[in-house]
Amino acid sequence: MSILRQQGELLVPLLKGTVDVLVLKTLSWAPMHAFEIASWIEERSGGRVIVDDAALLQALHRLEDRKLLSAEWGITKKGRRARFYRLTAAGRTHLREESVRLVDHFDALVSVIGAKQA
Amino acid sequence: MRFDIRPGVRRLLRLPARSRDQIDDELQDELDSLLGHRVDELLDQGLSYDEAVRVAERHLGMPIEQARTLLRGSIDDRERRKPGLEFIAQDVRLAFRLIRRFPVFAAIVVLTIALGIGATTAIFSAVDAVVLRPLPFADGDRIVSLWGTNPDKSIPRFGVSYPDFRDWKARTRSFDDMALYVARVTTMISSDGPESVASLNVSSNFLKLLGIKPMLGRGFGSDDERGESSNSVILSHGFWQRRFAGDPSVIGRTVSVSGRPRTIIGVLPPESALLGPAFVGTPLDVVTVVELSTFSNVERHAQHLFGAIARLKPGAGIDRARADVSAVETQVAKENPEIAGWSASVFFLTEDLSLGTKQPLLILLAASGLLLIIACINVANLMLVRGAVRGRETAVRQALGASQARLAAQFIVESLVLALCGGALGIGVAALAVGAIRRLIPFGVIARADDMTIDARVILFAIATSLFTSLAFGLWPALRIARLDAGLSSELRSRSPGSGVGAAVRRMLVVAELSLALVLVACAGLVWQSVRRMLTVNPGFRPDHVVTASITLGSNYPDSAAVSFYQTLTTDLEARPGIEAAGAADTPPLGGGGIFTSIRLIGEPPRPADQPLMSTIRSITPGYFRALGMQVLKGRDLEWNESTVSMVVSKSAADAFWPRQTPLNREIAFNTQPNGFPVVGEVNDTRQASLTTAPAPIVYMFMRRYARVFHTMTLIVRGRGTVASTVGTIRDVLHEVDPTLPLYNVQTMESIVDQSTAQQRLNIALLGVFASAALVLAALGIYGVVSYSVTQRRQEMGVRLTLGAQRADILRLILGEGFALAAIGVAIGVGGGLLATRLLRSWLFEIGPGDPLTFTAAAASLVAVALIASYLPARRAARVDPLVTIRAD
Repeated sequence: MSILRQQGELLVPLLKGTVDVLVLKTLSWAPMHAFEIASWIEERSGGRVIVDDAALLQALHRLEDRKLLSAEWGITKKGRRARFYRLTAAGRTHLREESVRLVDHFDALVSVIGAKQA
Repeated sequence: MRFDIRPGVRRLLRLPARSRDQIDDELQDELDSLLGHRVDELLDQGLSYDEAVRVAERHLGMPIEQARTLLRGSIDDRERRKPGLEFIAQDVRLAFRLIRRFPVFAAIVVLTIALGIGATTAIFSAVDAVVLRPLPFADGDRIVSLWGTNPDKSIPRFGVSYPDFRDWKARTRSFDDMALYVARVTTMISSDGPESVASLNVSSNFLKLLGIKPMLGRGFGSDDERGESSNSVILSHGFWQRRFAGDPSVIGRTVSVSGRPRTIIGVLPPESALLGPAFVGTPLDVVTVVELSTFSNVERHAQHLFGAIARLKPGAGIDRARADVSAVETQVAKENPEIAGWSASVFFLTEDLSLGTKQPLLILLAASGLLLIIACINVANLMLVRGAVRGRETAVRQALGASQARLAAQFIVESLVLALCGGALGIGVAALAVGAIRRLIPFGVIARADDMTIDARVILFAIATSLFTSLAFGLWPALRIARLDAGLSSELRSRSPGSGVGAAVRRMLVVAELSLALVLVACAGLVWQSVRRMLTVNPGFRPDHVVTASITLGSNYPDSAAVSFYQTLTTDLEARPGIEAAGAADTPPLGGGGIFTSIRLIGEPPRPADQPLMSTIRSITPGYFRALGMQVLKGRDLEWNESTVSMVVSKSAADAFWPRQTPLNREIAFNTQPNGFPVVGEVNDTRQASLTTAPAPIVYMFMRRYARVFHTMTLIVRGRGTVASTVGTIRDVLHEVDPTLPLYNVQTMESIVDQSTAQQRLNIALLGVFASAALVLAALGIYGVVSYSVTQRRQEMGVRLTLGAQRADILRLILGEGFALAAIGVAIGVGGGLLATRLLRSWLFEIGPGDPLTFTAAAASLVAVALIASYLPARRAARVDPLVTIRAD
């Protein structure tokens, strides 16, 4: 379970499966290694979404087992060892389907919560 | 380079996707990697080491140990385990990626290793050919050669007489079989005309003893036992190809050899080509059964004409055989007073063939080994520098629990990959070198060296050397990286590893490198001076404008006709305007030829029977001294109308035999003859065996009446014009005198002199190459260390400049450091060098192993190289802009 944290405050927990989609979406830009993915997500969300490293690794390996990602060891630009992940075709398909579903889901939520008070 | 096994292929080969342990380790690795990245970024942001680790742990979401357990537990069970080979494949892939990412570094490492391995492998291929490879004879290491030993034991390998051979064969008990041989140049006349051939005359069991079966036809059999009526001849493979174009129908054809018609009964296989260099000294053409009647005085024990080989009985050791033969010969000598005091000895054939070559080769192998060590040191330094760069990452990974074995293994695999690449390239370098060396060695000068190739054993050696090299330069950095020591974390904090344990080690390595380089340079310097002095030795004659050629007279020349043949030939030659002088001798000078036998000085007190006076006797014709430009010091030269056998002695003979008296009119007799022959003149000394051997006494003889020796002679002609015109004139005149005689083995005297120094010049060429390479590598090593130190100390330079130092001071500081390294290296190197050069004694000529001039020059050149190599980094240090460096902190 990944937890949103900001300066020690506990914020809203993300739904299970959200991390997966975040990861897939991040990787749709380019193949990256775990640290890059974590940093990317943090940056893109302006610091509002921080994924636990342990959870991230679990997610990555889950996705890899489901053949939505492929991975291999490589060397970063700075010459350090890291495992690089990339989307498979199946992953792309899954990303498309899941993003639509998620956005739809949150849209539904927002339309309920965001409705002007009667 | 992709070493990935695609999933589809994996399934096909039924390889497990990944084993449970593997996934386990991979996850741990990945965790380490992720943590490492995070800590690194935090360190860059300015956090301290401990703070960074704490923050990274927080980012994990849980304590590290818990994360590890969590990840471990989340793995599904997979099928069977696979041993860690997959890991090695992964590391290999990574190593190649590393090479692609840092091509310059990889290129320098691979080239340096290739240089070291190439040199060592090339020399090893020579050692392999000459010393290690088994002889191409059946059970070659049980074949021995037998030699006589003269009474004063001065010559350990003397020829064997026929009666001795007979007695040994009958009386010794250590051998399965014994055979006789002698090499002769003779004439063969076939349908294409006459030709001179190198022949091996053997006892009929010779080929069988060696286990050589003809590839066509048959060997000598019982029909050929009686050498006197033998009418068969066997061709060597090379001769068969060259002369008969490999035509299998030669079997049964008739040719004339040594004046007698013979049937070609067989052709030897190509593997037996060693017979030439081993027993003849040139490529072998034909083999015939020895005909004793063609040798003068062949039944006398004192005619040491032949060579003998034997096969040790199974279970007989060489020492027993040696004692056996020696005892038998001593007994024979007692029974035959003319060989009083003679004994005999036995040596392994392999030893005989590598005599005189083994030691120089081993010296060269040691020198190439030094070069390899220097190369390894350079590479180790490079790896240490790279290791320091990655030190941060590995320190973090380690602090967070990554296994040391894994880290070390990865580093070692990298070293292996680099070393094997270097080794592969090195084999290519060696192949080129071997080709070049083979072209430089004249055939047969170094027996078996012509067989130098890159074969399986040599390649195995190259691979083994590569593995050793990779350990040598890779193990130390790998162990350092994998150990958690304070030095590393302090490196992390202070961020200026210009000082510290790592830098000190690199400096020590460079000093070691420099001292080894000094040893090589000093050795090369000594040998070079020896060769130079050797080449300026006065041989005692003038080789310029002199042409030599060999002539063999057939049996249609009775002895008296042989003498008048040479008289006519030399007189006609001297009548030509282009010829200054002409003569002949049994062998050319510097060939080490002639007979070495016992003599008696008439009128001198007799010597004890077992200590006879020995001297070299050369048979010559008048004109010999003039053709060679030698000087008659006393008395007169020989003339064609001598009434009797006349002798001329060399100066050292005159001084040795009749000290402080004139040799003229003295008489010399051979131990086998009652009457002596008068000495009519004295000539200057000449070098006989080689340029470096001091001149020995020589007695020159014009044997008008006993002219058997004239059947094969070397013509020596001094011309006035070019070599070509001289040779042409010789052929013309020879054709006029006897058109059926071929002229062969035409050489200039200068090339004969050159050939006598061929091996030494080869030695110095190789040693010079090694020494130069060592200097270059040492320069690179110093440059690397000083340059890296300067880079790391940029801030320090900036600070110094700000505090008032002049640029010249910085320059001097860095140069001074380079100089200090060189000075220490030189000091150690001189010590080692003085020890090492003692091993070179046999190569040195007129120079001592501790020659101060050479060592000083070597030291000076090394210091100069060090200063030049330090200059560029020193200049860079002095050019540092203080503001830039301080701000960059």
